[in-house]
Amino acid sequence: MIAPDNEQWQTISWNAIRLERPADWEPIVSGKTHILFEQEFRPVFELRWQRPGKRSRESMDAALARIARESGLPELTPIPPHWKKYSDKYAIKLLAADEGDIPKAAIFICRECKSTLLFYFFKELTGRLHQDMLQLISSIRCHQESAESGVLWKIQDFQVSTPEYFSLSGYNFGAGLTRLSFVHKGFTMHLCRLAGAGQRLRDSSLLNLLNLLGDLNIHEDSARYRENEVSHRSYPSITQQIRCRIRRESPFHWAVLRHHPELDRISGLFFFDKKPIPENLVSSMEESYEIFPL
Amino acid sequence: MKFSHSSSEQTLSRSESLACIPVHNESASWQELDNGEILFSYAIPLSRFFQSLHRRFSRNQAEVPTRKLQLDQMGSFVWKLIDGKNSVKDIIRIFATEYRVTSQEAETAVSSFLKTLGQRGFIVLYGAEK
Repeated sequence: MIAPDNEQWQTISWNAIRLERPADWEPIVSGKTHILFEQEFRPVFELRWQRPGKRSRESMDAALARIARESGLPELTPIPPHWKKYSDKYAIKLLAADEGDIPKAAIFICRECKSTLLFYFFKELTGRLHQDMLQLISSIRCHQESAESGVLWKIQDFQVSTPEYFSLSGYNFGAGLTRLSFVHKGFTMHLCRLAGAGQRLRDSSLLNLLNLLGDLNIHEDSARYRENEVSHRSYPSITQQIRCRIRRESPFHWAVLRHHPELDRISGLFFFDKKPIPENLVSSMEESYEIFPL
Repeated sequence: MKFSHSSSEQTLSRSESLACIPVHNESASWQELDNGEILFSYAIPLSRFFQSLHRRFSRNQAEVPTRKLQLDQMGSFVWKLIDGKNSVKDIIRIFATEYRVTSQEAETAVSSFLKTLGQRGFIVLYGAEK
């Protein structure tokens, strides 16, 4: 379950890392495993993480020492009392900017999933900022709970749950167009979210946008219309499948584009595969894909 | 995996650019249409050769060849916010609120739009202290 957002703190979840952040700390996705948090257009801190390699035999202490050495920052010892509480869940090393006692960076390695988390603080951690930072770090969840199914993605004004076997292959946060792409073997899924829906639909129809975003060529009569929604599912013949495979294209696709007039957004899901696309996957993705007011 | 040590210079330069105040270029010719959109007309820079051709074949030889550019609703909204008082940061904030987008999206949209306006010579950017 996701903790309900309130005005002060909001949940974000990106590439299997979930945390609560103050509402005025805007998360800027800078990489698949890198988020920068800004307040009033100034960086507050950044979080990077790395999953353990399958062949990695390095102990947590050795990994901490190596990363600390590579950072070039002096180690902060002893660990300040407020930070000791994390020692149960993580192996920790704090780094200072100079010989002072204020943390400038932190290295955490989860004792359960062995993921490495790196924090770099752009502002001096004192007073309220320090408290907020500690609260944020307490809220971090770097691995899935056993009862959970799917990986939650919650950023900007949307959330979606993807099956665990999907991996993020690309993303783009353009002006008014967000796009996330996932792959699993030959299967590809693209998720789109467009802002300024009203203006876009004045210039173009929902079907045109579906064709444009999915690089498709669906005609008016073959599209399926529902209220504020257009979708298309391909049923290629054997000959069409062969032709597509020769052109190195996925013969099967399922595309859905939905207009959310109350939020002035358009959400889209595009599935491409060499095999028929499972109906339950599409329906579960559709169900979990939500857009909420900013 | 390493920490990135963003230098304070880089952060400062971004902050400085956000603190800049865009101002309409007085020599830019524009008008607001009935639908609220902005229409620019600007002289096309011609080489000497094409200028001589224009002089020879144009009916009105004093007329300077111009091009028109009409901003859409969002562009016109931003143009109207450029009043010599609002900084780039202020414009981004107002744009994000008006169009209900994140600050990151607004920053991308507004900064690239202001860059285009600047390249075409429609605006001038002043540092915050001026």
